Amino acid sequence: MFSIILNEMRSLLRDKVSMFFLLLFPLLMIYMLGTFLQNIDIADYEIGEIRLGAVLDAEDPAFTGFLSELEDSNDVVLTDSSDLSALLADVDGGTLHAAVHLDENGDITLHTGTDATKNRALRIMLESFLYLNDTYTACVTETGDFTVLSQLQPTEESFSEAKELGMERTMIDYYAVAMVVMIMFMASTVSGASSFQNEDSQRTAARLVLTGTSRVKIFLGKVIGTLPVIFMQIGVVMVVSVLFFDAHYAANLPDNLLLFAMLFIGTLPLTALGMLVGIVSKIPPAAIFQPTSWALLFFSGSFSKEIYVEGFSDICPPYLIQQAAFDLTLFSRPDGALTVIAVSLVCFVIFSALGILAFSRKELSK
Amino acid sequence: MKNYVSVKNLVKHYGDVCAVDNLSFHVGEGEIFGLIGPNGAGKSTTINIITTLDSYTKGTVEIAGMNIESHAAEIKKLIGVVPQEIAVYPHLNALENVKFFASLYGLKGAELDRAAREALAFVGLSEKLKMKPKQMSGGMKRRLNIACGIAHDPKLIIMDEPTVGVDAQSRDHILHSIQVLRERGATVIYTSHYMNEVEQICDRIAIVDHGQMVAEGTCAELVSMITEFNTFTLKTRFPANFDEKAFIKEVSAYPAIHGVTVHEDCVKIETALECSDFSDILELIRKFRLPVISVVSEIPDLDSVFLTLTGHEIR
Repeated sequence: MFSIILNEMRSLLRDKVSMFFLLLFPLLMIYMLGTFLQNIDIADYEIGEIRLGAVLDAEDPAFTGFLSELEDSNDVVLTDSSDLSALLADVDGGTLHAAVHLDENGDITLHTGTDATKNRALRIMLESFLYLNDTYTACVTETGDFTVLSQLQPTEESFSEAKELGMERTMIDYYAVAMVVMIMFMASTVSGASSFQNEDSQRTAARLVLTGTSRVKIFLGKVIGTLPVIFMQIGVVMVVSVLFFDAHYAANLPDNLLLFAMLFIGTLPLTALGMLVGIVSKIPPAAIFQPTSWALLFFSGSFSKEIYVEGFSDICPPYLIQQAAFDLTLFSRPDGALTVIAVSLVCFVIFSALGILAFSRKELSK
Repeated sequence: MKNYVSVKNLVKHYGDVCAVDNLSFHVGEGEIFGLIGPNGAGKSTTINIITTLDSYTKGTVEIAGMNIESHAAEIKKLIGVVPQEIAVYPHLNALENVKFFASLYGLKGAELDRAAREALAFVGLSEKLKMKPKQMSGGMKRRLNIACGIAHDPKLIIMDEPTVGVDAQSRDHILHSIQVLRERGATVIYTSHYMNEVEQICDRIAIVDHGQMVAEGTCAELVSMITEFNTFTLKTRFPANFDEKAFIKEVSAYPAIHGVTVHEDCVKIETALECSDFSDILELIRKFRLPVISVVSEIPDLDSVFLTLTGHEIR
């Protein structure tokens, strides 16, 4: 069986098309996605200095404190004034980016200028303040305790700990996991199916059987032969996304190893399924598995985290694997990953048995 | 000669279609046995059954005294198959291809390397060890295909049209190699649509059609089944005083001659199949002062046997 395993590995490693789809394509995707997401992050962070005018026609310690905090941040240059018209003229003229007005009734109005990025940043900050202020007022009204909010006010660290997040997350972390899941579904099924279809087209299947090597050994040898390539593939994508695009998987080594094991073992049933299809079908594997995988991945949110169809997405295998991966990487919860491993092994046995049965019954001609 | 392959009353049905119909033959040890027949005659099915690749409905098949159903694993180790289609891996070079297939027969290490190199040298590819199939000519691929089937030194070699699409040099090399394999003790079953090849290398030939045995024997035996004579047609110019009756009487008196007819400017002479010396006849023709413009020999060959026995219609 060792010869068959070695031959299978050679056939994958020496085939330029296979190597492109198995290794280069995912790396290219990671590169494009990583660069794209990094640029989005840069666009979000590079807001620059905001010149803000403020007219306070009423006393509001909270709002005054908020403006003071903004000024202290060094990102906002605050100009106090009692003349709203003059400030608005400065906004129109571009001297100021925006002006904020607290009127006699305690209402706050933001007068924005022409810079959309700065306007958006100011709106977000102001809305956040207003929500926080309303929450504070509600808490004080309810409890009569003026210190209630300060007791609850979380730091970034305590917030992360409370949510069991463990670390800061970016979009690349989400897509790094999604990308590996995509490779699992697309590459392993197609390479599995191609493996047997190539034996047919090369007329080598009959020759293998004629050597007296059992069909069970041939099937398992071919499955095992694909594993080192898949091992390398998942490993390379994970390492590249971490080293070059600062992606994060799990926070510690045991969880990362469990994640890798889950992703690797998860490819076993997919490879066996691909081989089963390759044995019983003459249709090019890409024509079967690419649309199916794209559809499953699409509805599992692998291409966009916004996509979720209740009742369907949550039964899609890629979604379940991604959820297990996120549970493990974000919250260090291994249950989902262990379930995926167990289910994968059961499915692998089933698909392998079906594949061996189909191969044993297949009539081979020389 | 001891039988190495013995096929008795073999029947194979594919649904309602009877592909092999009560076929029986044997192949002696060290013999090159030709199995020929038109397309769809049942040759490939028979070969598939002998190689244990296909099951059969009825009958018995024994190789080296072992039944192929009960000793399939042992029998597979004794057989080397050279399929009609070139069945090699495009990603492996010549040496790797031969080593891969030989390794599946249990050869290992230095023995495997030696066997693979010997097989490639045997088919004339010792200079092309690192060459991949896609870089090879059609003839080289065919020879690589053969090397993959013989590297493990099989006792029975089954060759299914191994010379399809190759040039004369490669073809000649392949046919010579088959004879060398036989000299080394291998038994060979050879199928081909090229009758001259079969005639050239096979000790005995079986013609199958519609799944049945049509004829079996040596090439001479098969030829004798369709005719008893060789025919020579001699084109001449008869002189005005030519005595036709005297000529026919004198020629017919020769013991090897079965019949003489004279028609327009031709003399047709039928001789016994074994007759190979025509000098006396030519001497006689000179005696009658007949000029010889041309001589056409119609010695029946395997082609004419095949067409006579299996018909001329296109399948």
